[in-house]
Amino acid sequence: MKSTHIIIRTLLVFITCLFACSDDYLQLEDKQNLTEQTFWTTRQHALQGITATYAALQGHDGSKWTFFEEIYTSLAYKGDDLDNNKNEPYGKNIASFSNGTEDTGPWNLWASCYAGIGRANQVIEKVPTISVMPAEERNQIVGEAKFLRAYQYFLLVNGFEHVPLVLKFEKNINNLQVSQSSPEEVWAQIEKDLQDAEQALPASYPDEMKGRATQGAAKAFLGKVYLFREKWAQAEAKFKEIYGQYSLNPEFENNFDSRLENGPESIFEIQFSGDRTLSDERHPFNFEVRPYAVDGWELIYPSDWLVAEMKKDTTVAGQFSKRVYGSIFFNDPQSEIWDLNIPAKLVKYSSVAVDLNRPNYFKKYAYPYDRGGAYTGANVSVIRYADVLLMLAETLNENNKLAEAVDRINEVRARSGTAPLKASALNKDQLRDLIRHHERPVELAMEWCIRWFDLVRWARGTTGKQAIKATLTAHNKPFAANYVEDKHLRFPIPGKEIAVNPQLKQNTGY
Amino acid sequence: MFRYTIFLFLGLLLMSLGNLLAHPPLPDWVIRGTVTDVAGLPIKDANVTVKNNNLGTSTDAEGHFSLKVPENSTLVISSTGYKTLEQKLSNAEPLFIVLESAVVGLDEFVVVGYGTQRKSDVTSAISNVNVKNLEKQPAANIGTLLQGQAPGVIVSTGSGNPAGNPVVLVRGMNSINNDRPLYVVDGIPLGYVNDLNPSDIESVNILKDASAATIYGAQAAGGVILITTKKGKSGEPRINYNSYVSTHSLNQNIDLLDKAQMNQVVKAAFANDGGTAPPFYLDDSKYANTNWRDAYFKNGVEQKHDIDVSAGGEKMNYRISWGHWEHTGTIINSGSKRDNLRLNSEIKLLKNRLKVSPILAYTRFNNKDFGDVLGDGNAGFSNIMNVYATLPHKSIYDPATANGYAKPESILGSGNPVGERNLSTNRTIDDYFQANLSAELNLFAGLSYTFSLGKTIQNTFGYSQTAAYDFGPQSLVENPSRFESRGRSEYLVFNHLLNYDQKFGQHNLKALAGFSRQKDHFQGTSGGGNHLSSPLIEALSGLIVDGTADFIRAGGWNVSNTLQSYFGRLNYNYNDKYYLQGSVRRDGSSRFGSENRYGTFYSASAGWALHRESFFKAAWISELKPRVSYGIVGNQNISNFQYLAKIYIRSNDPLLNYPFGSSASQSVAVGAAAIALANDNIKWEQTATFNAGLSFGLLENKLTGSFDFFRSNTSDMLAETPIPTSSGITFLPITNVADMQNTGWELTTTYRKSSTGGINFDVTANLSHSQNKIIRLGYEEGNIVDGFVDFNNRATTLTQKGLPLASFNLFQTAGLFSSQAEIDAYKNKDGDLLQPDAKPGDLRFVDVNQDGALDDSDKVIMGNALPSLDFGLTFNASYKNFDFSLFLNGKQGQKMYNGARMFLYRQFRSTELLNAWTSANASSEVFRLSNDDLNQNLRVSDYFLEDASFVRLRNLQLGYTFPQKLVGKMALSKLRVYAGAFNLLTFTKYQGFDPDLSNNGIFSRGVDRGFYPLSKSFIAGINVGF
Repeated sequence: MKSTHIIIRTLLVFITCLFACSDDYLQLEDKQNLTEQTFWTTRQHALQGITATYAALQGHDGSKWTFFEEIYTSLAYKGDDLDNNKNEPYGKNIASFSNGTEDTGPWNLWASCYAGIGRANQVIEKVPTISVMPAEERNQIVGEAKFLRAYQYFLLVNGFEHVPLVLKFEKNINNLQVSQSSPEEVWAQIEKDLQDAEQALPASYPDEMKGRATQGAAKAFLGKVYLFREKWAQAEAKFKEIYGQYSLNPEFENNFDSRLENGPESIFEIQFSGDRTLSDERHPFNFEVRPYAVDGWELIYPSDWLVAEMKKDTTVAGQFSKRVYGSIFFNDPQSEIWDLNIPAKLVKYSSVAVDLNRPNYFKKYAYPYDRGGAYTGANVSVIRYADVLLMLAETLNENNKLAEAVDRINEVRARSGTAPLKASALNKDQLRDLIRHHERPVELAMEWCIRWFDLVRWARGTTGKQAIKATLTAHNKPFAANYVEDKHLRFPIPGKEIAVNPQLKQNTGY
Repeated sequence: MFRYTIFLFLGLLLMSLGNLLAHPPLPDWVIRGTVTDVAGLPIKDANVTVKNNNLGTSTDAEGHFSLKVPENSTLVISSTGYKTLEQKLSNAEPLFIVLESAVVGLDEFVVVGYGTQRKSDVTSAISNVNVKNLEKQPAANIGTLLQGQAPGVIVSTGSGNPAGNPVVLVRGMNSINNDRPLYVVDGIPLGYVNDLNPSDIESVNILKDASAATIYGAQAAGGVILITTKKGKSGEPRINYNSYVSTHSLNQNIDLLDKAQMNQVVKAAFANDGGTAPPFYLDDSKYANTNWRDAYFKNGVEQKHDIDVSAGGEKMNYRISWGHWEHTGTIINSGSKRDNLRLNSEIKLLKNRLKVSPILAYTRFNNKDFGDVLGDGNAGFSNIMNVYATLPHKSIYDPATANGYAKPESILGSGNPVGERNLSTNRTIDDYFQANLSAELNLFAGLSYTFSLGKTIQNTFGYSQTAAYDFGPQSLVENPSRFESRGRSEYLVFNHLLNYDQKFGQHNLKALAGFSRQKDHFQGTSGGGNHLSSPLIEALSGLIVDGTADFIRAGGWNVSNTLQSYFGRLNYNYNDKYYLQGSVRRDGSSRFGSENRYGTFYSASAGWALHRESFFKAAWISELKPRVSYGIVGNQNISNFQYLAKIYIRSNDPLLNYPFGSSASQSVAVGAAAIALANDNIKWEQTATFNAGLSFGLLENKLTGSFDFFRSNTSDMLAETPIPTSSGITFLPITNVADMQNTGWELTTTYRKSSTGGINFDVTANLSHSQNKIIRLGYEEGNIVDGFVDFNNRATTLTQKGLPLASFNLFQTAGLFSSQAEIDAYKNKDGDLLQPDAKPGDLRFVDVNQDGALDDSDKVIMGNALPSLDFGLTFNASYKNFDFSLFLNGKQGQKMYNGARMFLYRQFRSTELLNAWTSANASSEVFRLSNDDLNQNLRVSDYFLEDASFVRLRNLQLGYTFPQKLVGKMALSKLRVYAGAFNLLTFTKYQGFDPDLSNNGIFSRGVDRGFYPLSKSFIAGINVGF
């Protein structure tokens, strides 16, 4: 073979390459993901979509730490019912009313709410187009999405007050900047979503689907929204629609015992699970309340004021009520807490008293059940029947039905053995004050999203308006002196969010 | 097409076998000789070739050679640094050849993209690393070797982890996305070189400006490091053996409190808050007094053995090398091993018109893992800090337990770091296989064609197996568990190059045209579960599920990407005085949507050899060459399919999953939704660089060097872009979000002195500086806050328009309050105290903006972690049989946030706390002890920001080469022994482990979370030639 022959062939190869190599080489398929074009076509897709919407209840990133150490702390630490461990950085600035706009807790709350809203918006837009499934089921799933969207906006409007109202899943990266709506518009949307949900949701689900939003949950939440809006008549009517439809757990502690979750008192709970077959749905809440002495992290403590209030909650015989023993671990011969060993044992206060940093601890959610390792899958209550009864009582009192209000309170007290109230001994203002600063905190202390939002609505409303600073000061909340009334009532709009959305206006004072 | 090319080359190979078998006529004379310098010292590795023939050999360590040659030939003897000599042979007598020192450097070749260039022809900014200096620094990886050796290449140790890789930056930070250089090994672009044995390296050249790097287009934005590996030398087979052993002790310069001291400090802290310390701090006589650090760390031993055989003849040369490196680790149950095998060969065919060079390389890594917490975002403290924080009150061992390790008393909290580490095994076993084939065919009239193909296969395997243990609820493994993962990556590159090189009178022309394709395909599988039926089983088949707390999970990956490129380069010079170069590359990438798939990159440069002008009279200047260049390179380093609207679904990720059901342990449903946005506008990131430089040589090139100034503008940087989370999207999209500018200069200079019979030495100094600035970051007010030192809390860095990347943004302190009166006087105009929670001894924070309140707006920009000056100084000297080398490197002007110190304050472990402020110790600068820290002394402030400038004696080595007479009796050709020390001395004010341990996160650079400390090592080694 002549070398010129080789040379010509070589050049041919080279030229062929330059001109014949097509762009097909650059066209690859994504073998790991479905796309929007291939999704939202089957019933399974609809169920997966609504599952993802529920998942945002646990936070935007799936991390239970984000939920309990960023979001929970942000919402709970400002309340007068608890005090934080100052050596822990989580929520520390929030608790001392010295936070700026960079603290990550409020951002995580913001992001989680909008993650839920974004997923709900996808379900609301896409599920009605899935023609292969029954219309009734499609409507129900859309109803669930609306319920969840309302819940997320409820957190936003109470936490931040001035928030963008996003009702459509925007896919164009250039159209993501939305300005804030008025709080009235947001509240109106919450009411509308809950009213729609109320129509679409079933009264109950089969066992394997427990945890999804029911019609009762929508009604209870709608009643709560009316209460926050001081629409007393509508609130009373809505609460009465579910009065008697649920019942209190026989024991106060049952509410925090993961073996009995989604029970008769449960109206809506954030679901967690010790089942690790697929993904990890456990959380560390049980560590966070426990003292170091029983292997806890003691992030939070009951405030001295709360303990004092608890100690007023006695039976006819003058003993502490069951809800006191069920809420706090304190210096009392009968006070006990589960340790975290496997198997767990009940530890008496006296046996660890010398090892404790502080005199009083919470013990709600500190149960050794549904565990995987030391973490638990205990659900966290969003709204339970005792709360509904107390809200109904508050509503009745404002509607001047004092005796009926006292009856509802006594239903709750009776379950814990607390001596009943006498309607004749109280006037309207006294009963309002009792509900606000004894019944609700003693029954619902430290529970998810209760106390701080209560303080906010009483400060923001017109009925029996109470400035938060005054309440905090009266209840010896640490750092109450740092509290600035028209500032710390709201979280700042997260600095990170304003940095990418110049349409947002920062809240007063930040 | 591709298959066709393969057939063609198989054909060429077969055809040429005939040529291989047909020997040329046997030469007649056997010539022996010795080559020395003017001082009479032997010159090793000098090339001895026969003029107009392909015969040749090279000299051994004693300067001896032996070669069969045709009668009356002319020998050409050459060696780097010496003038080439031609010797006409008239008989076969032994020769004594003396080579004169040459004006160094001008005729050396440097490797450039897809070829080589005479050093004197270079018009762009290329650093040529002196491999001889590298050989004096035995090290396991290339990054470490490059430290301080080339101006403009900033290498940070990264971590003291022996299996870790350093952070290499070419010309500082160019981008907020990919700032890592592209490595090109023997012409094949690769993203890494950690599989390469440094002993196999022949040359390292760094392409720094766009004019040099444009030929690598879209992959070149972070600079390009070109590495060639050693080839066979002509002559009889020769064997070299090199080995060293070194001992490593960690630099544990941070002192920790023992139990009694800690008790004292904690008691004082609680007392200051008006409380009482937890009971276990109260009685010094109770509990253990464990030094966890001593139990967790150990002294390590590193050893490396390299052996190679090389030989060459007229038609073929080869080099086979084997290297073994191992390090026992400086942490218990850790360590690393690497084995390298490499065959480089070259076959000449078709009457030397075709040169075929196959390369085969295989690398095996065995690693007992130790993970460090590097990177941006929500990163916690490192495992090292967890060991440092472990209470001395805890015991390590307890013979009464099943595994022998102590479970801490409940009150002391969970955890036993020594037990946890020893009961858990983490291993990775990775194989790297590389096959390169290149063929160069001389066509006609200066035209040649080169085909090269590179195939890299990586098989990675990792597993972790943990025995059941219970060190308290937070350190509980209920059952033995096992996880495994396997990955398989196949990477294929091929290049077709057409080269033209011709001289027309005084006009010298070189041209290159090329086409290249590369494809990367990764597939992986992971699986595992938390319940092995027995700890004796070490296979996933032994996993069981016994109840809902147990799981067996699987995961997997399947991704690929492709790049298709056309490129060309034109070099022209007139009379070796005026130089011009232009390059262009057009890249198409699968990572972009069809609209923006292609990017074109170009560059132009010019140089002027001033010293060759007739009017240039300064005799003491031997070289003076100003040069200037401008060009554009790109960056495409993002993950695939950013342009698609993806739906996320992962069964083992809690992100979108949610439990439903009535039982306590509800079963988990899998969720799916869009959680990221598609960005079909995404396109290339581009860096435009202007470079002006001057190469110089003085005093017959005894003093040589170069200076370069550069300014680069990176636009449309590809990075994760914060978007409003009100969109419901928390996964940040990658967009072309930002522009930045990087400016700097670099200087390198070498002085060589040789004298007859006396001391020979050379000194090389490298200096470089770079500074970056963000020009645009998203929206007008856009910023990125990062550098968290305490999980998601305590952000230390800010990146925004007008600032350097990751600038420290911290509160400013003004000493301690010495009295309550001072605190009371520190108030705003309304009379409110600025620090109402302060007590005497607390830090005073400055109300910088004087708005009467302390808040985030009072934070001040306080520099960043990039050095303003990076320098290296290498000194080599030899006297008779002794040689000595010393290498200093340093960085000036870099800041570090000592998060480790903050952590050890918070955990009451730092010995500085013994000197905390009290009214009796009022001169102390350490703020008062407090557990509640109501004043937030631990907030991010300049208190913990430190100057991390340093000068380090990195290498000190003394060697002795045995005289040839002695060595000859041992049947050796060479024997050298040496001893030295690494990291012997560091001069710094930085109080953390090390000022050079850099976080590899772009937005967290300089945030020290307490990484793996650096080792100090002593080394002894031997070089033997057989």
